[in-house]
Amino acid sequence: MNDKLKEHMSALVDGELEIESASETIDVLIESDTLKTHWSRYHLVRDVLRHKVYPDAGDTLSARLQSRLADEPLHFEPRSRSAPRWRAMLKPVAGVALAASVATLAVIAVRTSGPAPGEVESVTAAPRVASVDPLPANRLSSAALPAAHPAGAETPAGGIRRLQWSTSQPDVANRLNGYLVNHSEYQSGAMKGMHPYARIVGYDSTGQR
Amino acid sequence: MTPPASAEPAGQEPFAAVLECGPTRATSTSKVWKSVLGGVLCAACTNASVAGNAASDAQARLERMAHAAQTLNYDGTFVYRNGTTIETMRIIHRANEEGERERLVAMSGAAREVVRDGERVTCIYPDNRSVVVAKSRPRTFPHSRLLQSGNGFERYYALSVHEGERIAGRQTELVEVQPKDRFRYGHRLWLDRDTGLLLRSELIGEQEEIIEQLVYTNIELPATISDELLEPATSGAGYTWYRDEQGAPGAEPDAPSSWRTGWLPDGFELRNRAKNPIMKSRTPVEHLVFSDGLASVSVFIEQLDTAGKPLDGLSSMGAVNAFGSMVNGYQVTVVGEVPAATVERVAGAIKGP
Repeated sequence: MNDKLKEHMSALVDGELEIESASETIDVLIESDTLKTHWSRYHLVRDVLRHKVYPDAGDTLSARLQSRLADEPLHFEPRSRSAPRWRAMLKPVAGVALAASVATLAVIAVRTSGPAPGEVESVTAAPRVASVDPLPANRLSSAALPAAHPAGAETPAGGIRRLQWSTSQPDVANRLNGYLVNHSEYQSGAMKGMHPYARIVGYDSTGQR
Repeated sequence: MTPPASAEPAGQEPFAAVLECGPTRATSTSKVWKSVLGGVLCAACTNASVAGNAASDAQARLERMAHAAQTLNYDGTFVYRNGTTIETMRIIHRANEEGERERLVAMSGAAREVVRDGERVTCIYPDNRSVVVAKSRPRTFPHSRLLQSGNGFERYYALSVHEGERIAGRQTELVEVQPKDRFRYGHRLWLDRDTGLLLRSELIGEQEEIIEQLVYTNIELPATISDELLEPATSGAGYTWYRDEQGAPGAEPDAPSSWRTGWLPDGFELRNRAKNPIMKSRTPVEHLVFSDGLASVSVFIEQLDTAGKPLDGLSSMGAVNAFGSMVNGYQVTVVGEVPAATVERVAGAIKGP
């Protein structure tokens, strides 16, 4: 993807692109097979979580999901039941440019279907994801456990959200991880059926400093 | 949301005293348990055709869910969301005469995984090449007192059962668990009608927001599961290992704890105590578990070494909240999948010796 396209997409996300350039950009995005693949993956995951898709046993959905998610975990804004609108804040951990395109497409989809107040907000709130550097440049190979990342949390560039403890102290995050493993072992009866270890498997340690 | 019914401090009983009326170590024979379980299962089956609203129906289903998760063979894929993160994971669980063994693997990004058996929990983090091994706790039956109606579970939660949709090709029933105060989360659980297994869940916050969710896209119930499927993808060679397995499994300290809790949400009782090394702790960490039978909070009391950075205040990770404070020179940390206000209030009322 060339820089001009990135720039256009970024402007498009911010609603600052002239209508003519916007149309061209959309055309390019829609004609790209790679982008279409990512776009469809986005829809797939979204639909599963919105309960639109319940494949019968034997369906290959999980295989498709697996292959599509293999490259990059997806990150969405939290959804509330009272406002069940998927915000167009798709943020990749890797392959930023592609996912940025998807985010842009998501915004386009929202806008062309007639924006509600909340949707307009999502457009204006969308960061210029095309320029986000997704990973810390210097990843240390220290022996410490999944470490802290100022949490909740966005990188200085404003893009990535991870499942991490909200603390800036790697020490504290390490200790909390140890606690969480032990806490999970002592879950009450019913909670044991709810896969408490998904929180540990889902923990993102790539942001360690 | 109704105001808390339990705003008053629940007294300052020493933990030892609470323990006496707590659950006893499981001593029941498998025969006795089977008959109890049979009763539960029959109750669940009889009511399966009609979506009743009685709390007892819901409780029977929750009990069945917990039992199914521990006693069946299953191999499934689910999408998991916590906070802003979405992951696809595969779970493989085997229960046979050798006991339980389970492997949970992330299918996107680094292949983080947790392998659990009757002795230990092994957490593998390939992205920073580390392995954490902790002791597992025997999952003896009856695993939960809380779901028994005598415990007054329905005083803290409103329970109902509804017809659920098909998930991963299987018909479900929906169990809704709504807290009656603001100190615990709600749950919506879709359970497989045939087996009782959880196929979809939503953890609901105070503002009705979905804090954490999980949806199976596929699940199989194989008669047998090979050892290979339960082996971690990496040997861990070259990784940094943290072993917390010293000491007898699940051992409870002999001496009563000298720490006291000044406040707990209504219905929370001391369920377990342990004293183990955790991570690189200088001394064994005292661990107290309080639960209302569904939600639970752990209190960890640790002496930090001089270089150790204390947690002072709240830290969150999706649905899990932790609140740390220093009491009498010890780091006290309250951890649980309960609202932030709950861990904060529990932590604020802990009294040292």
